[in-house]
This record gives sequence, C-alpha cells and structure tokens, in this order.
Amino acid sequence: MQFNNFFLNTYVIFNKKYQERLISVYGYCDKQGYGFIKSINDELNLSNNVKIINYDLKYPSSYIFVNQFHEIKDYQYLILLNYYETNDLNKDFKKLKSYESCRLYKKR
Amino acid sequence: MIEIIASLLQFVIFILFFFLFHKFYNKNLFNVNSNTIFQTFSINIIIFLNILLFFSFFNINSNIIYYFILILSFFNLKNFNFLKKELIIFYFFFIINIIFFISIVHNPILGWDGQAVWYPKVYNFFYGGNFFTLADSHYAEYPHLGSFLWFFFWKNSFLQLEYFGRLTFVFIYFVSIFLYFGMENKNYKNILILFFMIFLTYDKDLFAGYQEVLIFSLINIFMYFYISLKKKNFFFLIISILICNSVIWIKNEGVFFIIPITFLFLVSLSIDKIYKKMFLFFIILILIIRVSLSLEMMGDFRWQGEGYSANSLLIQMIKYDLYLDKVYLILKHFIISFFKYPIWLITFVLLFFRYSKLKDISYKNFIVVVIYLLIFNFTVFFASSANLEWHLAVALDRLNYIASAYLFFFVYINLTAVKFGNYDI
Repeated sequence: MQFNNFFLNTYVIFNKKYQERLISVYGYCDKQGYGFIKSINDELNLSNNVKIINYDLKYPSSYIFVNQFHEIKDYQYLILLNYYETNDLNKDFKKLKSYESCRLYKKR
Repeated sequence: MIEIIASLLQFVIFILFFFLFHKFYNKNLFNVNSNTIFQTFSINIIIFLNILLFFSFFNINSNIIYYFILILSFFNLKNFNFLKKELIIFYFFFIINIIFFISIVHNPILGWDGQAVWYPKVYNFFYGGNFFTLADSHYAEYPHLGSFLWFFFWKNSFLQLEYFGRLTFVFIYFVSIFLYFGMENKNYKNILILFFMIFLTYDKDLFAGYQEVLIFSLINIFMYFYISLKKKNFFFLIISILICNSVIWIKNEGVFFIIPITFLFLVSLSIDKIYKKMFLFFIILILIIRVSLSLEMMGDFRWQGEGYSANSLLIQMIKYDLYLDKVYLILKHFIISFFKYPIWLITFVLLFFRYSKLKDISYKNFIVVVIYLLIFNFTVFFASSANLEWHLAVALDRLNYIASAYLFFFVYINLTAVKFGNYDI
C-alpha cells in the first residue's frame, strides 16, 4: 500500500474532482494544455474545426481533448501551446484569447 | 468519494461477469488439487473476450449485452460458495485490485500510444461505431479488441468515466497472476513469492491505455493451463484457440507471439495427434479470418504503417554497412530493458543453474521459446526503418514485457519449488 501511495492517492481522490486531476496530469497551459483547451471547447465547439500546435514536442498531440484525432486542412481555430514568443502570427489570424503560454486564434 | 465507491462496485461487476460459466470443466483434469476461482475467472475472461470480439463487428447496443450478462450472473449468486473455501486468497486479490484501481483513478493519464492509437478506437465504439467504421481512422491497421473491452466497461460503468474501462486490464492482469497461487496446494507462504512476481511484472505505465498487459495476461493464462493440465483434451484445445484468437486481435505483434503457443502445443507429448491437427487447422483459420476482415475494412492490406512494408524491409536488409552499429545499439537497449523487467535476468540465472535439465524435453522446449522470443524482438528492430534509437527507446521494453509472459511460470515454479505432476522444468 505504501509502495503504491494508496493513502495519498485516496486522499487526492477525495479532495480533487476528476477534471482537476486531469488538469494535474495533462496541464492547464503547460504539458498538453488540457485545462486551456477544455475551457475553450466548452464555449466553442472545436471538434473537427481546430489546429493545435504544441511547441513542447515531448508530448502527444492534444486533439484527443476535442475528440478530433488528426490534423485537418480546413479549420477556423488555431491553438498554440507552450508558445513563449511575444510576437503574434500573421494577419490571417485574429487573437481571441491568451493565457500564459497558450494562445487561441480565429481565422479572419 | 463517489469515484472510490464506483471503483469498488466495478470490482463486484468484474466478479459477477467473470464467474458466469463455472461448471463446465472437470477439476480432475489438473495435475494438482487446484480448482481455484482464478481458473474460473480466467476461462470466463477468455470466453468473454471472444464474445466481445464477435459483437464488435456488428452494430449492437452494448447495454443489451451488458445487462443480459449481469442478469444471468445474478442467477449465479448461489454458486458463490467459493468465498468460504478461498476467503484469504480472495481477500488478498480484492485488496491488491483496489490498491491498483485507486492508483489509476488518482492518475487517469493516457500514455502516448493510448492517446494516439487506442483511445480513438474506443471513442469510435463509444459513439456507436463498429469494427468497420474504424476504416477512416488513423492506425486503422491496428486491431481493436483491447479498445472494445475498454469501451464496453467504460460505456456501462456507473459514472461513465474513461478509466473504468481500463480497470478491466488491471483485473485481468491480477487474475493471470493469482491463477498460479493454486498450484502449490494453498501454501500461504508462497503468497510472498506471488507478490514478488507482481513486483517483477507490474508496470504502472502499461495501464495508461497500452494493450501489452492484456497479451501478457492471456499468454500467462495459456502457460498455466499448459503446465497444469494432466490430460490436454478438447477443453485445452478450445481454450488455446480462443486465447490465440484474442491475442491476434489485440495487437499486430500478437500474430508472432502466438507462434510459441503453437510450438508448445504441437510438441507436447500429452496432446493427441488429432487435437494437434485440429489446432493447426483452427490457427490457420483464425489468421485467414483476421486478414480477410482487416482487408474488408481497410480495402487494402497494411501492417504497422509503412515501417514494415516489403519495400522498406528490403531496403533495410541491403544496408550492410549499418549492421554492426545496429547490432550494438539493439544489444545495448536489450540489456537496459532486462534491468527494467528483471524477470528476464532471473530467468537467465535460473536457466544457467538448471543446465543439468538440458536433456529434459520440457526444458529444451522452454529454451527454444526463449531463443525465439529474443530473435523475434531483435529482428523487429533490426528490420525497422524508423530512427532506431527512438524506436528502441519507445518500443523494446513493451515487446520484452509481452515476451516475459512466457517466462513467468518458469520463474514462479522455480522460486516456489513446486512439484506438479508430470511436468518438471
């Protein structure tokens, strides 16, 4: 039990909801940006309408969070994760939201 | 709180599901007095996987199958008298399942392949798709049985959270381990060795949506029946075919990992020739069905993407100048992998100290299986057209993990010094 952190795990399950635990493992704006993408997806339906670029290459793509399992050519929204540059993208895109290293753009 | 209660209920559901058929084999078939609940669970798991496989080709509402089995299992409750006979071992089984269930509930992360390959298939089933609607998905050439099992218990769980489907993998894994406990006439000292075996073979990362643990468990179950059945009759034939059929629909590599099963079946002295012929016939049949249905679904034949196409294999074979570098790199990663899964190291040590057994046919056969597994895993990377360093880092451990299922019984019976009937190794 101790080896598996059983008591700590139980305590965390009691005190953190499922969504919070998902944010802990997939990150809000870091790692795979689960929290950021989820908050946007609750407002706008991103499925089959988004391109997600994660600048930290050690993580799998984050399309799973919007139930879109591959890149598509025609999309309205663009999400950048772990993007630390200050300059914005070209004028084809309008910035809708920005939080720490995450950006949400919409095609003009 | 609610998730913990739901996890406990999920355990009860697994018990009900996998105790459904419990009176269809004779305990006198076994070498040792070992008619345990885990034999019943494991046989039910194998049957259940094949039933699920069948339904995955049709658009049938999974709720119907789920509640049908659940209602049937309630009629079965009166047969749960095993709890009296095997209470202590069942208690251990329950505790250890719950500990590892909680570990997944706490950290419900999916690994790379879990997210990229297997979860999209689960999602397809979750939203009403079947095997044939996987055609448009990425990695359509990867089989789907593990994903269908995951979907089935996710869709029908109390809270409908994704990880409930993956708890099944934990349950099946522990059934395949506890199965061996019955071999030594309930000597509870050996439970410590059982826990040591769990320590050797449990890898938390493999429960993050990967399928290897399912194949590991199925092979482990096969090896148990192989060594513990006195007379390998029609019952063993059916069990072996059902296991092979499940394995080839869980991962593409499964086709190569059933070769040792086929070999052991064909060389066994306690199997009648007629059963051997029937086994070969059915193995060929299930392979033909597997290829035909995949062709029907995809429209063409693909195998693990472009990495192992005939063209790519040929190019890799003629690159003679890279042979030495490749061999060095692969061997280096093999050694690292053996330390990650030390069951391999223990096997090598035991094999060395048991060399006096070299004349025994069962020992020889075991050596042949180990050599095959090493050669197969080596060839996978030697023929790979991907970046070799990367490929070895992400895939070799998992292949060696599956292969270690063939070593489990050998290490266990040597550590416990179990004598079981006419099988000695």
